[in-house]
Amino acid sequence: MTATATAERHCVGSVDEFEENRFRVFEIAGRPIGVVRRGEEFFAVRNRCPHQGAEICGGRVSGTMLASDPGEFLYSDAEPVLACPWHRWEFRLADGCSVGAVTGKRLVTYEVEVDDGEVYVKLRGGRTR
Amino acid sequence: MSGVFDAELHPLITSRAGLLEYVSDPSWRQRLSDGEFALPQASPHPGAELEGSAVDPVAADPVAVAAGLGPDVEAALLVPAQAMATAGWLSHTMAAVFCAAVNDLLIAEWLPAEPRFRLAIAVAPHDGFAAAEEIERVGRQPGVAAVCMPLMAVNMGQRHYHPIYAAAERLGLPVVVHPGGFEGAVIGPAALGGIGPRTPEESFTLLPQVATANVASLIYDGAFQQFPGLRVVFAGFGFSWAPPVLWRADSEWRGLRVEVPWLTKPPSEYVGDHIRFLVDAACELRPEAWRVAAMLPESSLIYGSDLPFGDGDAERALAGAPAELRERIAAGNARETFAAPVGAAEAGR
Repeated sequence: MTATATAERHCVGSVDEFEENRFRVFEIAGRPIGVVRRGEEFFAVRNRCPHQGAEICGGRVSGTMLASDPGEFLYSDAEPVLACPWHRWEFRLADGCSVGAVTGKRLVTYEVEVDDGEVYVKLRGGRTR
Repeated sequence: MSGVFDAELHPLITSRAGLLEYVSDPSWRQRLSDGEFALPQASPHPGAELEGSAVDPVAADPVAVAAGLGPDVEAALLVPAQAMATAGWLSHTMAAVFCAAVNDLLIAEWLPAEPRFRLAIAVAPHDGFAAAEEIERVGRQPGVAAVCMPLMAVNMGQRHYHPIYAAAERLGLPVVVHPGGFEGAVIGPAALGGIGPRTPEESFTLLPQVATANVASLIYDGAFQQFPGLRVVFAGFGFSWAPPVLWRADSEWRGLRVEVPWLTKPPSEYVGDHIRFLVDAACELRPEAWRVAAMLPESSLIYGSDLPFGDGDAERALAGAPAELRERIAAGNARETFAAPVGAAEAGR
């Protein structure tokens, strides 16, 4: 897919074109970038796992287990994560940080805007490494 | 070598009648006196019944053992190996009665013989509540520095052992686990991958499996979250297997964290904080082993002479150890592990 560029942001389609929890991957300014919808929220990440370079956008999008007492599980949707399909390392969609700090590496994330039913990825300002 | 903390010296009990004097319950004393109860061998393992007694009877004389301690030995932890054989006994109560008698004998006859002696009180792991009662009963005696037990076919992270951990933690005592000699038997003690070793060589070769399974269980079952003061010493299982196990544990944790969300740091860090491996002077002497030692957290290794099965020469045993680790292995790590004042954990609550 090719994104439509404007001066500051890149349009990747209308809101209705995005299925819940399912990434669509675009080539934006030469970079492979996945965009996913979760409820009313959108997230964009580089389609490359910082661990070993897997196409991470093929992984699971979900909530995750919070730190808990032994033998108990505490699932939370509050901070959605993307799990790499290769080794299941999880990264927070919002900031790319490793869940549980299993690695110091971060997934590259981008800011997303929704404007009049259209979804835009911003490559500057919101980008993190 | 200056300053050696010997964390594994096995006192030997050779007099059945002498031990039975310390069985406090008269009915049990009668049962053990009337029956065919025999003291466990000094070093129980498959085939031991064919070997006769190869142990120098001096090992049963606390004064002689004390006289044999080198001047460099600052402390020697008595680990009653015969009590470890109780893992193979089917009577839980008899195992507990025996361990209590061993503890009372060692407190009465061994600790007064030498100020450098410390005692790892024995508990039978069959019944965690009974074991905890024994820890409460004798764990505050002067000179008691640890609890020791063999392992059952229940991994160490499971609730079966929680009463023992709670009591040990409450009294500030580390838990030393030591083979009982019957690992791999179908009924009773901890299972090996290959069931039924037939020779001591096969049994000793496979023992790291038991330790591996139990290190993993302690970590993944969250024992150290539930008992943050718990320290566990694996004595008699070697250590050279440990680094690859920890590497794999850390690697698996990164991907499977959601399965054990109670772990909030890499498994190897829990091991560095809570688990110690004994460098058994009688068997961990290959130069390559020391290269492996350098791959473990620096707090991991403590020295044990394994007397009367080794020669007790710590300087020779540790000659090949990395220079920066030698003092820690010889004494430093054991001092930190065993020297927590009794009741410290209670005072902090």
